[in-house]
Amino acid sequence: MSIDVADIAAKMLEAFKGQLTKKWPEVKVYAETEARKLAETLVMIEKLKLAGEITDEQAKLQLQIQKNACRTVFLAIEGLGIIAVEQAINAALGVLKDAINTALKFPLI
Amino acid sequence: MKKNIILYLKSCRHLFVILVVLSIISGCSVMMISDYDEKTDTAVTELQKQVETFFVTVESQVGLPECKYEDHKSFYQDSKIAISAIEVRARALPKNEITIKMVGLLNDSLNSLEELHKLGCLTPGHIAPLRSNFNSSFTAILKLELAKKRGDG
Repeated sequence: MSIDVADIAAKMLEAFKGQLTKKWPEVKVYAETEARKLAETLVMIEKLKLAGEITDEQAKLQLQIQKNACRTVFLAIEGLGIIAVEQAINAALGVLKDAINTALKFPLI
Repeated sequence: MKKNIILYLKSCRHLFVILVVLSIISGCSVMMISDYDEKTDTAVTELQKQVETFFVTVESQVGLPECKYEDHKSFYQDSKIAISAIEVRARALPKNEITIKMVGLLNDSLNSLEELHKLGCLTPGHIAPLRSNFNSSFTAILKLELAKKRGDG
């Protein structure tokens, strides 16, 4: 049985990076789009306040909803990141399984 | 004799480590976050429709007596029931902490919306940022839920 550890490690790393590289741009686009929207919404609330169209109490409630929206978006980004890492780890594990089965010349795992 | 026993114990330890590694690998895959839940997806989408219907209705009632909070109590009651059901289901699923937090924040936003409406009728100026923030919240929850399909997200 010959298992080239360095070779397998390199292939696992490639699989891991490949998955992350594939997923990260999607997360980045989503994060950028939402950040822009949230900034625009904050400006809307500020304008309403400066124009006297909302009271302090109304502004406070609007900002609470704004804050919740920001936090929800950040949580989504966190979750998307976790899924990307999970898929990357599973891709790397898949490479390891294939390497072991190939070296043993039968599907041990 | 003693040397042979030590060598034997070392090889047993190596074998044990190999067996542990193989069993971890053969456990197939790692799952760090819950699976996709269609009922959560459907319920959140439905709640988004209810909230948007509310905003559209209130926008059409600007300046009219029906714009008052008292005329929209049923929306707040229905949305509280809906969000409670979503939260209960989210808590029942394993490794679903992030979605639970997101639903909790949405619940808080709905409560804040209710408090805001009690202060007076909502104007188009009020509704624009509200709609945007609520849609961001709904999109975030659904985006994560769809991503849990692993590959479709």
